[in-house]
Amino acid sequence: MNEFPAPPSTEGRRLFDLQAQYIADLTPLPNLAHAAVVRSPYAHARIRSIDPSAALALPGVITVLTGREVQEWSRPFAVDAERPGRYYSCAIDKVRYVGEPVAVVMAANRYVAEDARDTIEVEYEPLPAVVEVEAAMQPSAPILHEELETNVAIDRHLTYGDVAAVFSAADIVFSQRYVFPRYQSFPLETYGIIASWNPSASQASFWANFHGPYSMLAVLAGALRVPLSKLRVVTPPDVGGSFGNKIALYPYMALMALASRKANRPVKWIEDRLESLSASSTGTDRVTQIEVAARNDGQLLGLKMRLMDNVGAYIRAPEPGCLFRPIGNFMNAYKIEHLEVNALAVMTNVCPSGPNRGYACQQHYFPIERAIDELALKLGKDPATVRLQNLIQPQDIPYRTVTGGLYDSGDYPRATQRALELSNYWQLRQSTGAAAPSDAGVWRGVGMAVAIDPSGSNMGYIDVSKKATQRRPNLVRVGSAQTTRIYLDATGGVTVELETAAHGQGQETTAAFIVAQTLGIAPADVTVIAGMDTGSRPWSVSSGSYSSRFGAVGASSIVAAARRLQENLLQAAAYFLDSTASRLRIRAGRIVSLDNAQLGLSLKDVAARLHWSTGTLPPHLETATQIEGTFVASELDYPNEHDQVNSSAVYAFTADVAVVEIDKETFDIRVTDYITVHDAGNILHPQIARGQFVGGLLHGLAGALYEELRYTETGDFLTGTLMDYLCPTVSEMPGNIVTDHIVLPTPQALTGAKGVGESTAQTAPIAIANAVADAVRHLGLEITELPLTPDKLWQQLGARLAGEPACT
Amino acid sequence: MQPQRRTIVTTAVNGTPVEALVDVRITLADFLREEAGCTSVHLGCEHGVCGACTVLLDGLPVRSCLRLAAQATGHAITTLEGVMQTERGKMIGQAFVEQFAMQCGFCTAGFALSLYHLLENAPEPITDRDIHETLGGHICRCTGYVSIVEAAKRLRDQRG
Ligand code: FES
Ligand code: FES
Repeated sequence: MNEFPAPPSTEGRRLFDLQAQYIADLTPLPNLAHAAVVRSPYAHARIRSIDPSAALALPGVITVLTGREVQEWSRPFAVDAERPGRYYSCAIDKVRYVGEPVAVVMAANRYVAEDARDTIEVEYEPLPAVVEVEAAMQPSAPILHEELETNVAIDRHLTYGDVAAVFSAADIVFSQRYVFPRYQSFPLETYGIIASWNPSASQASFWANFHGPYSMLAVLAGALRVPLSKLRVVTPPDVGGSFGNKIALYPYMALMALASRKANRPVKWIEDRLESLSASSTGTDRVTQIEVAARNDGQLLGLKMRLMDNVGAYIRAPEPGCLFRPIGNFMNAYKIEHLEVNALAVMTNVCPSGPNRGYACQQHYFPIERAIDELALKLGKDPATVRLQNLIQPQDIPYRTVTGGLYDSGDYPRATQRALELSNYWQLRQSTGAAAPSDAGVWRGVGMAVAIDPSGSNMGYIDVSKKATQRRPNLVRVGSAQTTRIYLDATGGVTVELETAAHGQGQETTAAFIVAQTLGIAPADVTVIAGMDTGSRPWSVSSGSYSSRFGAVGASSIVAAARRLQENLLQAAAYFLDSTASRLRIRAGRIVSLDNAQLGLSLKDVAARLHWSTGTLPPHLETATQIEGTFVASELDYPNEHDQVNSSAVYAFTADVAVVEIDKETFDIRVTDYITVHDAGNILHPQIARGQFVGGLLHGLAGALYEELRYTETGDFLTGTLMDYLCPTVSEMPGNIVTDHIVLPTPQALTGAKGVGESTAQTAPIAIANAVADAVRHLGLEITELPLTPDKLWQQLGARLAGEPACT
Repeated sequence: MQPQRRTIVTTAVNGTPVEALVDVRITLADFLREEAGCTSVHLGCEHGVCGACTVLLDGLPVRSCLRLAAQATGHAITTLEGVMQTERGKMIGQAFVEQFAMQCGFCTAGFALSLYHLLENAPEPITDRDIHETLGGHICRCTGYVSIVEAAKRLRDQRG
């Protein structure tokens, strides 16, 4: 198979050839108006009046769209929640977070649009706000959506196994509260949309850096009150990152479609950074109350978890995914059979939440992996030992989790051991925490985390948000599917269409490599059509690039298509050579006979005949050059009455070790070493996979130490620039980064690949937290929340020492 | 509200003389993207921190989002479009493409221009620290920087 080395970056080549096309570069339609969004300065207020007259008087201003038209022309977005509130693309009579759209100005250019935006008079009546999830659950809390009489959108109780029994039989039971913060993975390119409303057809066309899941387009169509077929969405070939952030683009697509409808011309909007940080989408912040039951020998018996998600001002699809996406892997990689979960989604006066690289896994594993460290300590054992003792063993795989997940492949102890070896863990343990030399200028710590990395979400998991009796019996949402088209042209050239809306994952490079390997031709001979267009390419609601699904699902559809083309070529050659397909092979651009060395045809010849001699072809070869390959993930199911569901197509595994040093004077925290070992099945392209691991580490490091979207108690937004929202640069990255993997291919994908995209973004915040905990435990400090900053450590230590000199 | 005032910018973009009547307040970045056809100039923050909009002004890296087009009068501007006409630009491109020193590519032109400046101007030897300081002025959200550092070191080693 591997005749050719992994090719260099096609996407990078395009960039240096100066052919890149990002959304801001595009002018696909003439006569574009440029939009600026008027946004709420208040966290919670009633809108008394909006006066756009000064704006409308400015030269160059076309029109202004307000909530009145939005209410008239659209419906609230659908979402799977018991008490959802009414979420439109623009505030109607009340604003519920700082940055919420209130109106849209359209003008001849962006400068004029922004001038006009500042002249629009909006009169507000401020209301009390609430930003913390636990505060918002209090009976006395301000209510965001009065008609609901509560801020709690979802309150589900899930029980697996016999929790009461194991808790009463346990030697040790303890509970802890953990706080996972709000941050966003901050794609460097912001949201961008060009929308065009066609009034006579009630049809909307979009050019946008949207990348799926395409189920969001069904939500968009519903809000715009048009059939899905009346939407066309074009994603440009180049998208400047997303990490899940751009999934929540669709409400702005609705807003810009309505703006175009109002202006009666196409509208272009490029979000700015303040808008992105305050009002696009963020990871969900969560408070977890966890209770652990274990035996004295370290055996974990059961967990009780109360998950309190802050979903922001409106619960917005794909939320409540943060509560339910990891349901099949709720127990991480441990053999625990008893679990009780209370899953709550709570609305507060902050920006709505959404997917953020690792969607839900870091939130879910943080309390579990921190608690395992605590358990180990209480039992006088090493955290690594307790983990190894409780990991699911390779002979148990395929393993059905008590929550319904099917762990398809893997050797978790081996990958974990590998991470321990590569990091020199056992030796490090002798010189960290209290064991570190006291004359050093730093406190040192080592910590680890393991994670099941789910890839290829099953659409069905979201229905666990409803009780079994409330699910729609006539619509069983199950699966994850992808179709890829391949063409063979008359000169033997092969073209593959990407239908996955890539945004920086190197999918063009990988797609060409896969097709080339399957057909035995050079990657450079495969043309890849990048970008995506729902108007001309096949797609379904589960299409897109999200939940690390390219390796297992998207790329498997490319394999399926390439294999069909291969089969068609052999069939065609057999016909032309009067031979049998099973006795033919493709070798280096030729189809050759296994029986007769003289017998053969070049791919070019076969292609030419398939195109030029169509009138003579037998029926089975008439469409041989036009291929659609579809891959549907197997073993996915619909939640049963016990709330069990196989929530993802495949499950990869990650084991990480972090080493930190904390300066004793400045409390500056540095991650000196980071070791991450993956079992992601077959690696489709080694450099691309490594790039995903290291990129994931950056986001995890950012969440652990630097990035946080912060609000005051009254809901004012504090982190609207890169001076307040601290993105790591090269200087903050660990000096020593080691990535490694073991390869256990998954039988569930034609590629044998599992996900790589989210991986370390899930484990790094936790491994780093555990390392910091190890470094400062001997000082009496406890690590229960992120991000870990010098001032937080300083304050904790100050409180601890109560006036004594802080440094020891 | 300011009445709109216009001014003539007389500059050279990638070696080509440009004279244009522009809004006095148009930023250099917007001018380069919209009037001079340099779409390699990307806007990641529009407040001078991320480095995506970096261009060379008389050979020195500057943030084009923080300058006005009017300030370019009398100065020569180089963007990735210009750098790619040079041998060194092609080497940078090759190193980035082969090392996978980009994923989404939105930050890449900024890194490439700062590296170009370093490779053109820094006295021998270029240390690892020099490389870190140069790259440290840029934010990349995709790569975790490791592959960019590798590309930079490779270019440093090729310089000799
Ligand atoms: S866009 Fe100029 S520095 Fe970020
Ligand atoms: S490659 Fe995406 S920001 Fe650097």
